[in-house]
Amino acid sequence: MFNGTAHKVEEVGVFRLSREPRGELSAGSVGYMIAGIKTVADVRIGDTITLDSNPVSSPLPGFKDVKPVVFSSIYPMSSDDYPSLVDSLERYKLNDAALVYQKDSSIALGQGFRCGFLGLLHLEIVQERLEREFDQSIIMTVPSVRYRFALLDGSEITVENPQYYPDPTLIKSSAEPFIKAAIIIPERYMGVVIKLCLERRGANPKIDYPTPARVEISFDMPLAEVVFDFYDKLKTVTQGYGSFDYELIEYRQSDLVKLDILVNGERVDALSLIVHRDRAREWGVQVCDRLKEEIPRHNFKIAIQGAIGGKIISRSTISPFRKDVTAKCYGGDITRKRKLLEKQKKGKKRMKMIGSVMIPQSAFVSVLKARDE
Amino acid sequence: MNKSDNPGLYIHIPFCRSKCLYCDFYSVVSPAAVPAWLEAIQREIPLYNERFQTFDSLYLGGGTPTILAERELAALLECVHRYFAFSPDSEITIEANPEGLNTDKLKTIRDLGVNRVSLGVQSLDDGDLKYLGRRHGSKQALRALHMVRSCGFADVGADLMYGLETQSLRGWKRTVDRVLEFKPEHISCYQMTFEPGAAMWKMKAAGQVRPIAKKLESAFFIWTSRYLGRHGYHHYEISNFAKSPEFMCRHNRKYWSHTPYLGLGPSAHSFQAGRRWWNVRSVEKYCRLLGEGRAPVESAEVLSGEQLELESLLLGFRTSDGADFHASGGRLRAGEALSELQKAGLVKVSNGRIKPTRKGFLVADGIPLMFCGQ
Repeated sequence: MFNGTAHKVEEVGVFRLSREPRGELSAGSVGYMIAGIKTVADVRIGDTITLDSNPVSSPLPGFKDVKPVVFSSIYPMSSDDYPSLVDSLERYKLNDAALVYQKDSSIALGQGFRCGFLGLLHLEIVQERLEREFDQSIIMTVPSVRYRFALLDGSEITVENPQYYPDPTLIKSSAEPFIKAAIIIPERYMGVVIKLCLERRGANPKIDYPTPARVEISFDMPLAEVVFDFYDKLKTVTQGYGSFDYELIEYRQSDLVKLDILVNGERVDALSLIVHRDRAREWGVQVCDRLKEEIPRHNFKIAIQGAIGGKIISRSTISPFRKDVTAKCYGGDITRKRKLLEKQKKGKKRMKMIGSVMIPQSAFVSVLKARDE
Repeated sequence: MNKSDNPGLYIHIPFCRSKCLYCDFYSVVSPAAVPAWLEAIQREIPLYNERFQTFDSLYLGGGTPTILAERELAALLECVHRYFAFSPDSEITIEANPEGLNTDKLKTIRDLGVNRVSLGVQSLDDGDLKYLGRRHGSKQALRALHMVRSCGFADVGADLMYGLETQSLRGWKRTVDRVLEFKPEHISCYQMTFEPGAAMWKMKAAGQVRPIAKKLESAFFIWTSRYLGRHGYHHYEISNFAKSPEFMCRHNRKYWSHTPYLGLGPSAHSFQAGRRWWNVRSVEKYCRLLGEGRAPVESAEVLSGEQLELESLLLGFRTSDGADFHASGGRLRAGEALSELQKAGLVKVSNGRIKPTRKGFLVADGIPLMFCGQ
């Protein structure tokens, strides 16, 4: 009407979308069924329903049990909020059966949950929803993937939590999941994107030109390299034009090590990470620098170290206070000083103690921030 | 060790000829208000009749107590003695400024029973004194030191300030050396600080003055402690040095050990049996309340066990005595905090106490936090 254009009407009709109970559903019908299913986890998309009394031998083809591929631990920001986090996760799970979680605990962050996600997007959705819908403030640890270790005794184990990294002397070989990453970008970003992918241990590149000026690049990459901040980085270097899709392909041999972060010689378990040997140093340096910025000065020197086994690969030092004392302390100063201390003491409760070093929660969060290149 | 459990009495004389730029103690520049104040305090004193045990220290602080005329001081002390009992060996201190002092006045003060003079020298460099907004010059300060000594005071303290923008370490050493020639029994060395109530706070905000670098502050502090130590002085509190233990200021030590004290006069603080209260910070209001027969108390707090514990840590680590190795309830203050502090050379443990080292003094305000909430 308002812009004066004319169109020929092809068809008119109404939507019908109401439940109409029937005696049965047969081949070709699209319908619904109501049953007394108590847990959402019992229902999987694509699954086959069969008669209890006369079951079919195998499900219909095409169904794949979805398995989590990305793992991260969720801890409440303050340990007092643990019961509320338990409750929120239980309620969350009611309408997201794909999230799997089990109890986890960390010396640094207290009690929490190790969660498995279908992928990166899923991880972000869970995090967002827990924060928005359930009003939780949470700390997530660095995402990990499920690694496979073949041990010298011939057994094979899978590990998705750095805490369960096996004794390195017993490892025969290790493998990590690889993906085929498909990235579509305008041609002008090809250089930066290829550089980014190679930095993330991308291999076997294939370049296609589906349409003029548009490039599809595919790389074989370790999943671990994209779970962290790959997508953010890609968006940054392509000024938002890049799109990214991936599918899991296979497990490939990889030289994996466990990187520990030590604060004054004590391991901060929540910051441990399984990482490719070539990438360990870079990560270690970065975490040490981040923590140096976040941990306040103490009365004594604080050493922050990244270590593989007993070998230190990165280090930063927080020098102690030079001076922190006021000259006067008489009558009225005492109450004032005590109040200041009481305030600091409250602040200390929100800190995590590693040995005698106070680490603010923000330090754990800062480690997760996108790395600087 | 000049430490006792007897209570101490503080009287705040809130008058000055002019305000020094760094000072945030409550005082006014209105000599006309002195008579009303004197009348008011003579009403306040009886309010605490028999509420305290025998005192063994009296501290006349300010302000500038020596601004009071001799008869005014006499009237004040007469009233104090009428209502309060003092042990015969009491430490009776008056704070004095170099200007306006004369032998006659000092002798009267001595005859009134005052046996300790704390003289506000601050510096013996005229540039420093001008910077601080002091009314006296270095010559006047030297004369005053002489005068106090010659009037027969056997316990003389000199108050000094360091870490001024105008002052070099060498300049500070010159001041200290000249003060040491008088062999004062007590020296207080206050590091320059910018307090919200002082004129210099605003001057700092306006960029007219500024603090010296933290590194230099530490250097001043450590040098002072070492140098006075070499001259036989005990560094017994962050800012205080005594020629020998009996000259440690008995009165001030009460503040640092939760010993009861009564503070009279505007803005004065008192502490007794876990309760702290403080007077209004206005001469006018102070006089009016007492005129109406009411106590001029602004507010009070009752300290919980936890608060007392925290205070004993914060006060303890500011003194060479340190804090008891046993927290209240007999629990040991041990653990990782202690070993870290020992490793860093900030505290040492001796005679069942955790004592700050010289280096520990430098960060004394941060130490209590390490021991609480364990």
